[in-house]
Amino acid sequence: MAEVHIIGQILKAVDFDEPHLYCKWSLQSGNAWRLVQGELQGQTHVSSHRLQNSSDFAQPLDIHLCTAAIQGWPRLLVEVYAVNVLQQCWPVGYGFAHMPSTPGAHRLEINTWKIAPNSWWQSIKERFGGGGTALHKTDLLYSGVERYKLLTRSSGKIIVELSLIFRKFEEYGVEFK
Amino acid sequence: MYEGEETGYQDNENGNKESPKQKQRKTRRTPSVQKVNDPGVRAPASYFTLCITGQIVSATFPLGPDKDYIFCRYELVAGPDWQLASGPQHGITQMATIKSGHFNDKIVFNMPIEVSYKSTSPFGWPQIIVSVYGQNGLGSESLLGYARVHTPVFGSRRQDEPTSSLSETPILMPKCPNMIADITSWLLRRQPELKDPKILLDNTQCKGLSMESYGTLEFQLNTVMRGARKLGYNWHA
Repeated sequence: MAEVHIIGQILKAVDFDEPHLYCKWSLQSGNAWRLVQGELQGQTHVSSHRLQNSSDFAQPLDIHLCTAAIQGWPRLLVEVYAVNVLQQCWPVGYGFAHMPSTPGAHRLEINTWKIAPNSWWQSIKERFGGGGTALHKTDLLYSGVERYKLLTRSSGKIIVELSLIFRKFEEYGVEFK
Repeated sequence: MYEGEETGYQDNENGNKESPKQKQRKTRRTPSVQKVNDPGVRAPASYFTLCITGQIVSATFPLGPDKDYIFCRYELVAGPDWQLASGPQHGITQMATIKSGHFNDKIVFNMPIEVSYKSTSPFGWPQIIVSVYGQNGLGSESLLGYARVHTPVFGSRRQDEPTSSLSETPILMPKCPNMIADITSWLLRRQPELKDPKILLDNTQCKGLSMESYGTLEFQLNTVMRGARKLGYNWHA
């Protein structure tokens, strides 16, 4: 079976409005992909910067997958949550990115979006009451099926640095050039 | 030798209940094991070696560090398949200061890191975790933060990248979990420290931790690898 190693880090979150953020990430792939070693999901620590408006996570990713088919290429889903002084947390960004399809060092910038408030009451709740609305089913993140029902607003960016190592793909006829 | 291997398996089975069919399956596998043990056949190397060279270049604090004298302690951490072949796994740098210079200057350590590892799989790629400590005059040392970086997977940072050849990592300082801990730490002038900085390398243990980032630590690292292509790894496009 062909193998893929994903080694890298979720580096930081930039351009978000809120200072204290943490990120929940998960790696999803099709049915033919199996996890050999590593974790498929995780949560970073809450981070803020003393001077700038960014949050540094520097959370390492080390995942070893093996696959029997090219379908279902893995993708990284991120959900960014903000925390306030009262320890309440609410989502401020959803995003996903597919893993790059060539070996080497890559730098992914995942642009995220959040749900826009529908009425004035919701926008006041978003500002003062500990957050606006969240997604009920998170499979809307990666599927495009029911996206037309959503009203969203853009949010910040998550920067991920990855190095991909492939193994035995040439034996199965997959070429990278 | 065939008989010897059979009895070897039977000794292991004392504690387990095994059906006679499974026992048959095990003995059928022994002929292939016998071939590799034959001294005439040369067994292929199943591990690759990774040689990491580089240095902790400097630490930069945008508004100056909180303390006068800074030093770092670094440690190299790798997965279970990795074996340290040579070099020190941890070290402590010298005590550096910028007291007589501009407060914004970078604090140069120039601390060499030279290790080599042997491994069978890229999982658990070695990482360097650095704890930065500071000291005011002859006072006690307190923590200024932690930084971690993966050793480069593809040689070193490529020359055609717009950024410099240094890899800059943020220095993260843990914050107090509640207000009482905050007041105590201000009274005693001691920063909170993590009991084991290696939880920053583990995805499952970071939940609930609160950190503040201030400052960057610059590394310049190169790696040389040997034997990975023979194992089928596609290292470059």
